[in-house]
Amino acid sequence: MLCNEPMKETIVIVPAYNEELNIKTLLDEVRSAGPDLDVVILNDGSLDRTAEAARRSGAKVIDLPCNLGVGGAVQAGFSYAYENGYQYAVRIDGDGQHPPSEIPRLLEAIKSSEADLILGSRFLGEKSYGSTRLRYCGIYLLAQFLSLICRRKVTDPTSGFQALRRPLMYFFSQAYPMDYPEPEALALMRRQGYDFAEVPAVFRERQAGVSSIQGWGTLYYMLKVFLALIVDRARSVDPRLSRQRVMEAMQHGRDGY
Amino acid sequence: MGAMDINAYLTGWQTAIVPRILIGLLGLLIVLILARTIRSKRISLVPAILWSLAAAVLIIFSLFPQQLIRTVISTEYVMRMRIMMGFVSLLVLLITLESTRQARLQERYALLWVATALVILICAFFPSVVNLLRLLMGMNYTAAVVSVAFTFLTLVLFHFSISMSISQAKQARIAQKLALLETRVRELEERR
Repeated sequence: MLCNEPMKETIVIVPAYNEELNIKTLLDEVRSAGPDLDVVILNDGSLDRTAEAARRSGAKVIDLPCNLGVGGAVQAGFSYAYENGYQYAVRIDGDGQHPPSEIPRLLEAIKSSEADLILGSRFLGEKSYGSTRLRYCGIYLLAQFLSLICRRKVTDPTSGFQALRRPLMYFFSQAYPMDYPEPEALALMRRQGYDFAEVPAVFRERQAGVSSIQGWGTLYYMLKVFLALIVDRARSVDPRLSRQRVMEAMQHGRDGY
Repeated sequence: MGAMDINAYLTGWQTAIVPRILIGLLGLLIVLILARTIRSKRISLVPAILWSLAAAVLIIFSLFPQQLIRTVISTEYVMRMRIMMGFVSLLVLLITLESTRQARLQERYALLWVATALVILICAFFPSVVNLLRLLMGMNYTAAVVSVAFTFLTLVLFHFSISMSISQAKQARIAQKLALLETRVRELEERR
């Protein structure tokens, strides 16, 4: 992948599946939070008119031809951001859970730190989000386990509110888990030598529509994620995608990175 | 089924004229359709043989039901099983080879099916190969062959799961690439 565009600053990546009702408000909020932010909507094979709604509000839309799940959509977004020469990417969900007014805080955090990824955590700082007890227990267990294997403190492993740097964009465009990707992506990047840190963020209840993880889904989610985390530990590290190698290649401006 | 039951059953077939006529007509119908398809060359050799075999069995059964059943059950049980398994494995083998020949099935997937069919075929020709299994597990011949075949079929299914996962991952990458290219085309068109 050749980068044939001049370097740009920041892009906001928004995976959206059937978010026709939320997307306009969200885009307006993003614009008022940062007027010079580029936004790209990943329309993940929505059945409603998400793409039209987003285009009408002036956002760039990538139309995935079929539903790939949030991992596949977000990965397409990272590829787009990387190919178009962006330095930073912020990922927020299309359902309005992540308030765009927090984006500047995340960007500030990533620019001022060494980390490749900044994770917006709803459990750091003041409590802002009502979650069911089962789900909270699940997230807590996951957070403990992830903190252990990543050797970094994680309080909100399922958060999709993230800001990341260019080298990590490249890594994620090459390797990103497909469904329920957030915790696994953290473990994968740590294993390849990338680093992350958390900052507190205020989340909201989703504006319209329903969450994809409910009831028995919570248990299935937990099982799937734990299995994926353990299996990933048993895989070998790919040196071609390691932080050191990617950073070196980027500094030398070699083709292919 | 006791001996008395079998005799009553067979006598019943002798007098059941309408079902016999219907079965015979079904056999003739198959022969008729087969003849037409063969004349217009729309059928390949293997299915033609299989269909004519089926038609022959139906017609012979409609003519001499008692005699046919008696001939079959007078043979040894294991022999009957061996013949049936031989047929099944030949069927699997022929269908696999035919599908591969018509390029509907890739060779690497065909390989496991061929192996499955060959294993059953070997068991049918040389019943002694499953003797060890029969001895260790206390199975009879049929159960032993079925369990061997089942193992192979499980392997085939596992193979499918793997290739499905791989092709799903590839499909996702293709979908992403396609969407990115589409976006790029749109951008270029707008710029023009």
